[in-house]
Amino acid sequence: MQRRIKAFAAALLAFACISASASDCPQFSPNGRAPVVVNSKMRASTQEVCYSDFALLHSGITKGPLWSAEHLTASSVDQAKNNTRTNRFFVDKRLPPDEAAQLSDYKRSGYDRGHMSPAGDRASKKGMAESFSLANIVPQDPSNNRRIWSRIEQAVRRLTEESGEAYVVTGPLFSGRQLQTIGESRVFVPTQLYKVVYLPQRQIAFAVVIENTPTNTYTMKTVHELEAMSGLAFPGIPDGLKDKRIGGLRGV
Amino acid sequence: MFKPFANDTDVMNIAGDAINIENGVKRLTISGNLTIARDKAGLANALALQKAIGAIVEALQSDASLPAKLPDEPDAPSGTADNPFI
Repeated sequence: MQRRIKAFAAALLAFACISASASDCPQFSPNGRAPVVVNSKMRASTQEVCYSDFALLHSGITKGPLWSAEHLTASSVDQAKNNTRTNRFFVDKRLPPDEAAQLSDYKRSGYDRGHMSPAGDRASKKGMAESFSLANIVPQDPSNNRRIWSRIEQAVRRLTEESGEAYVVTGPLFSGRQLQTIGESRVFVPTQLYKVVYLPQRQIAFAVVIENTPTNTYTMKTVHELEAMSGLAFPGIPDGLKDKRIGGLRGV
Repeated sequence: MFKPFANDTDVMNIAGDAINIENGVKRLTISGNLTIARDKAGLANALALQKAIGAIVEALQSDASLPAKLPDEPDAPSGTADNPFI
C-alpha cells in the first residue's frame, strides 16, 4: 500500500513537472511545442503570456519578452494588410508591476518601442491591439526598426504567402558582459534581435540575426546556431532542418 | 480615433504596419512605406493617410501659441547592468 502511495506521489510529481514546462497556448508553435529556455539563468521571473493570435515569454529581469511566437498563414497575412486602426501601447495587468516595463520607461529613451510579433502580421483588430502590449516590445534602435527590420518582417510575410504557412519566433539577444538599460524600471536594451522562421510545407527552417544598431545588414544563421546564441531551444522544428543553411532573404 | 499630439501612447496603423503614425505630445512620427494600388483598397489607404495628415495640420493650425521651432529634447540618461544571463 505504501509503495502504491509512493508511486502515485511520484506520478503526481512527474505530472506537475510536465505541466510546469508545457505551454499555456501551444497553438502558435509547430506541433504545439513552444520555445524552451535552456539557459537556466534566463528562467528567473519568466511568465508565459497568451494573446489571441500570438504568445510570448515575458522576463521580469529584462522587463520584456524573451521570445514571441506566431503562426502565420497566407490568408492571415492577406487579411492583416487591410487592418487600419488606432492602437495604444499598454502595460499588461497580468504581469507583476515591478517586473514589467512602464510606458514612461520608453519616453525620450532614444529607442523605438520595437514589436517582436509585428503589428503588421495581425489579421484581427483584437490581435493588432494586443501586439502593442509592452510585454511584446523591446527597446529598438529607431532607424533599424523603421528600415531593415520592417523589410525583414515584410520578407517573412512574402515567404508565408508563397509557402502557405509559417511559424515565426522573434526576440531579443543579450550578449556581452554589460548591458544598457532605459527608464526607471531598467528595461534591458537588447544587443541583437533574432527571428526564427519555419516553413513546414517547404521543410525549411532558418534564423535571422541583426544588431540593435542603425545597421543595414543582417546575418543568416541556422536554427542550431541561433539556439546556441540565444539560450533557447525550438523543439517544434524538426532536428533534421536545424543545420541547413539558406542564402538570404529576398528583397531585404 | 487618432488625436494628434494628444498623448504619447497611440499609434495609427494604416494597411497593417505599412504606415505607423506614432503619436506624441511634442512630436509625432510618421514612418513606413505604403504602396497604393489603383483599386478600392488603395483608395481606403490613401483616404486614411489623408485623414490623419489633415488632423495633424488642423491640430497645429488651431494652436494659437505654436512656437516657430520647438527646442530639441536630449534623450533621458540610460543606465547599465551586468548581464545576468552569462
